[in-house]
Amino acid sequence: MHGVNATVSEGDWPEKPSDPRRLRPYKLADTSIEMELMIHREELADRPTLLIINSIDFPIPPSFGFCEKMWAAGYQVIFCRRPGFGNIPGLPPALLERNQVKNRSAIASETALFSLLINSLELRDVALLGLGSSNSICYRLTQLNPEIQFTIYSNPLFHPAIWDVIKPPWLKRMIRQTLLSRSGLKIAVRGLKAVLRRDPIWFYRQFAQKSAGDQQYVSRNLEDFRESGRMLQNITPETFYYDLQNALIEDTRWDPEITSASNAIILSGHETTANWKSAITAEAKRLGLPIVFAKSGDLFVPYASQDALLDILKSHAMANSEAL
Amino acid sequence: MFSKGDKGKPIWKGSEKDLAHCQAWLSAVEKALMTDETKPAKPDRQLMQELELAKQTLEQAIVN
Repeated sequence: MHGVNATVSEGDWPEKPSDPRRLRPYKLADTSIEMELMIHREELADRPTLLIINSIDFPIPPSFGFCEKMWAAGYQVIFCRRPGFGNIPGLPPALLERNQVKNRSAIASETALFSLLINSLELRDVALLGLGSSNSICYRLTQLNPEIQFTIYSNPLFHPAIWDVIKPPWLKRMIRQTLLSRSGLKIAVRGLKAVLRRDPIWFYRQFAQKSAGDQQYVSRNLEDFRESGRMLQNITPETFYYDLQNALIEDTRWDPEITSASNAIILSGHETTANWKSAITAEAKRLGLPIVFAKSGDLFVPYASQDALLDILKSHAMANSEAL
Repeated sequence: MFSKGDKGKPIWKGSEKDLAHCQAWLSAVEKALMTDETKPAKPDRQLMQELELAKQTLEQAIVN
């Protein structure tokens, strides 16, 4: 079922043979583009895929325990780190110009790359999980690639209450600063990188302060969050601007005609503000999408509420497969 | 980025490596624009416009 067009090119990459979740570079068929992938258990298996695309805040695969739990439920987790968020170059500079971010040709291009990845790996029966800022890609990828059977938009940023939930206040100010001017962007990104370099765990505990479930996920996976802090040192100000400007400003009005015709759901957590909950519920209604609030977790809700995620997959994705 | 009034002017100049990077992305965008008529789901017109704009941007960058 799976293709051989995606080739592993080890190159100068650091080996981590002891890590079953290690990311490896895959060269896409007929191109020179590489993408960083974590294929749980390393070899593609003949079973449905849970494809996860990272948000800007955490370019790291989910925990080994999460991947094994999904495996036990019949899914193979494939995590793809977005270009520019780790060891792979980001979008070509021409696509990171202000106009290209504004007219959304940048996000569409990145979506095209993910579609090519799915085709190169010959994935079938894909459940797609978007997180935070990657939901803009998932919204488009769901339209573009017919192998996607079901999409979960986890914590999408497309509703008006988004600024209320960014904590702590200094981080909110910093993010706003990145979107105001070129100098503000460079200063803010430099500051953010310094914090992440000095004490990534402190940063993530601050960032996830609203949710006990998120805090617990951080505590149980400290090395992943240290690695995230290291990876985010590689992000350029241009990529940072592109992703935040797109997710928070340019791509906040999805088309209900598209979403209501798709097999998709919104996932959020109870451990957030009342304002966020009411705003995202209203937006889900406008888009004609069902919404689930899991008991635990906020930013990392699918990882903190794994049983809730499995319930969603069983009741929506598998039901859809059986109907086909 | 943040350049203003760049209509009609070269928007990007890069090395050969950057050029190859640009060409590879153009190839991915072009593949996405080739929709499969036999597949039930088709991308929305808005997305196709976004991809078309991306194609034009990358072509312009390569030429320049």
